Amino acid sequence: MTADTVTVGLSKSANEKLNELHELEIFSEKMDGYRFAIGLALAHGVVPPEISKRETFLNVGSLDPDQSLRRSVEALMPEQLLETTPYRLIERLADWGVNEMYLQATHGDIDFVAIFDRLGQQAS
Amino acid sequence: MKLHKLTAMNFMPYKGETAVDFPTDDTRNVMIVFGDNMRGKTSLLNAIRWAFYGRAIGRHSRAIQLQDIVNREAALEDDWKVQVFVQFEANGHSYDLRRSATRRTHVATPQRPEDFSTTVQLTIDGVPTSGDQVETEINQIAPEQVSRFFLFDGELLQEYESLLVEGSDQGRQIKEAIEHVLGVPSLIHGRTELGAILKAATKQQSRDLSHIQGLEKQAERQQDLTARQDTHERDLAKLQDRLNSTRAERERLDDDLDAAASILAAKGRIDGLKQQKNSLEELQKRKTVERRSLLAQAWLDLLDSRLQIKRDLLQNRQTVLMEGWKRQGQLQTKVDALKGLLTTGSCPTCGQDMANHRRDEIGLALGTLQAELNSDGGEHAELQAVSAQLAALSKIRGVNARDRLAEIDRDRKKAEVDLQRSENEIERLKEEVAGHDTAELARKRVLQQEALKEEGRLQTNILTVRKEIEQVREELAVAQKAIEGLASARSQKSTLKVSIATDLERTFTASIERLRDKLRTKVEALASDAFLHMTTQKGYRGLEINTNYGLTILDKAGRKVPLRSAGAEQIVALSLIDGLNRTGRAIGPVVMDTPFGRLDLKHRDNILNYLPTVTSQFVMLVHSGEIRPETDLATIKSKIGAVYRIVEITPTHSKIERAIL
Repeated sequence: MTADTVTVGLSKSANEKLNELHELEIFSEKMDGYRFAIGLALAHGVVPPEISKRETFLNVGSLDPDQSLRRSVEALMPEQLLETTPYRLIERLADWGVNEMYLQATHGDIDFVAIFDRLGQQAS
Repeated sequence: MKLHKLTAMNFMPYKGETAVDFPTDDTRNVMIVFGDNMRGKTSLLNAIRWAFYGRAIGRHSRAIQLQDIVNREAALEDDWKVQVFVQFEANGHSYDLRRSATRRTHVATPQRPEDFSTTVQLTIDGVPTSGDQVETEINQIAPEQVSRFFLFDGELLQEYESLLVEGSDQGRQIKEAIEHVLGVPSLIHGRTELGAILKAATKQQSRDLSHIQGLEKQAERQQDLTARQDTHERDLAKLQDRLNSTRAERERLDDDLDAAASILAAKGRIDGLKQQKNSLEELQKRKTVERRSLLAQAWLDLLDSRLQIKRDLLQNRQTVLMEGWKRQGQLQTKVDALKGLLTTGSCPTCGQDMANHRRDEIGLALGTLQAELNSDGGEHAELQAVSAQLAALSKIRGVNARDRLAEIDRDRKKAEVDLQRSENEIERLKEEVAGHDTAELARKRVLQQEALKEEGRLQTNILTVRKEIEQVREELAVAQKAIEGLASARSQKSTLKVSIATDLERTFTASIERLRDKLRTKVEALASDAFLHMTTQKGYRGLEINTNYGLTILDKAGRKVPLRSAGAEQIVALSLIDGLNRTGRAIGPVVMDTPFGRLDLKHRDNILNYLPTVTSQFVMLVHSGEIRPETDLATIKSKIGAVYRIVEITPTHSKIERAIL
């Protein structure tokens, strides 16, 4: 396994979408949206594909100061980590999550309560 | 006195000719005129007043100018003739009263009463009365001063309620008006004139005494006092003038502001809504910040449910590994014990040497256990790893963002809806006030408030000056007594004059009090009688009158009832009106405009049953909110002799039609 990355980002298009979501003032910081996107992808249990044309904008130390994200990925997707590093996988998850949120935002405001409710139903 | 017929032409909203026949049957002497607000009920009352006394009264009891009496539509068609004819009977004679006003020939558009020529004609039993006798004849039958009690505007009831407020200026004015009606002013004028005579005599006396040796000091003192009295009286007159002009100005502002009340209310509402809008926007901002801060943590909730599954698995694995680890411990203990036995070769209980076959068995068991112990290689390391992972994952916990987000979203949506409503309402109100100078109205409101304060200040000053005048008078009386005790002064003609004027003034003052007492007693008895007929509360004995003609309810034990409802206030005021009306003239018709404002059905019933018994005719001008014809008039249906309805043709043109209940 190669050494993990120290900066993370998104594909160019997802980065633009996250910028838009930030400009819509849905999230205070771009990083908040990034973390939510990772959580969303993990909660859906998706295995996102590799991303192309990465645009990095976040330091891993800032994104995951207590390594909660890394540990979560390690706990929940160990088989994926046979081929990649935790933060590379986190990037892919974030990319998927941003696209998903953006899709919802194009239909109006993002209904976060509904997201939680749908995930709750899936889990039960 | 009984009214027979009223015919009006171009009088206020009644364009063209309008006629009303009054009921003349003693057993069916109630007449009801229904009319909604702004249709012309008060104008009908004014038509009677104008025919009898040549004046119509608007708000604040101010006269309506002649040019404003003429129907606007008729005036626009250049018809400036206004007439009211009243036929009535009194003291066995029939009267025909005709008052007309028309634009003077040289006037294009009348701007003031002088632009009209007015005529009044009265025929008694078909015989014309000479012009200068008309007023006298009318005042003998229906004195103008008493007219406020029988041509009665219900809105004025509140003025009578103010009689109960000790020291209120409005109360004082009403008291003066009542006494004027009841004839007290004749005596008051007499006392005032005697006061003037007394003052002149005192001045003359001072001059006379100043020439008498030894009395110079007394003369000087008296001159001082009369000078002070003059100064105070001049001050009082000035203050009274200022009060009158301030009050007139305030009433003018009241009228302007009342007319613009809806605009001011709308303006006030806009201001209120703007504040509400700002608060809602603030709330939205706060909730948005709260939501964003919650969303910054919400990703933990997304992980939590899936991590919980993982944590459960790890927990299970940890339990299994812990049990294995415990079993290993037990094995080790057993191995150690067997090793000990083999080493010592004796029984640990009895100390006897162990048999060989027994040693073999122990060796076999030891070997098996050691093999089992050695077979557990990585479980301990795994237990450590699982425990570490479990500890790390246990730190990742959700923040229950979902419920809090739902709450915030609810608040935000509600604020958004409220905000939208406020904005719509603001827009609607802005359209309402568009074209009106709200700044000017705001300025007038401030001026009105200032004028009110100024009135209060002036009233206080007037009271102070009155007290000072009273004090000077007392000092003058004391000085006079001292002078009268001196033989040299007593011989002066002016001293005699002062003495006579003083005695006469005292007599008039005493007479005024006696007449007041007598009138008050009569008004109290009649008002009590009316009150007991009209009140619905049977636990009352009657009313007690105070020096201001204010009335207090007495309970059966004769104790004053301290608090009373708005409805009770109105009944007390109506009782006073009835008492004053019956004190001031013989039985006659009573026309009441909007008399039932705050009264409940039972009180209305009582009034409707009582007033027709103490009047020759009882005419009510009512709006639909006061009386529901179908239900409220059931008890007096048999007494109703005529019913009319005022119908609006245009906002400036109404007509009166006969109606049935």
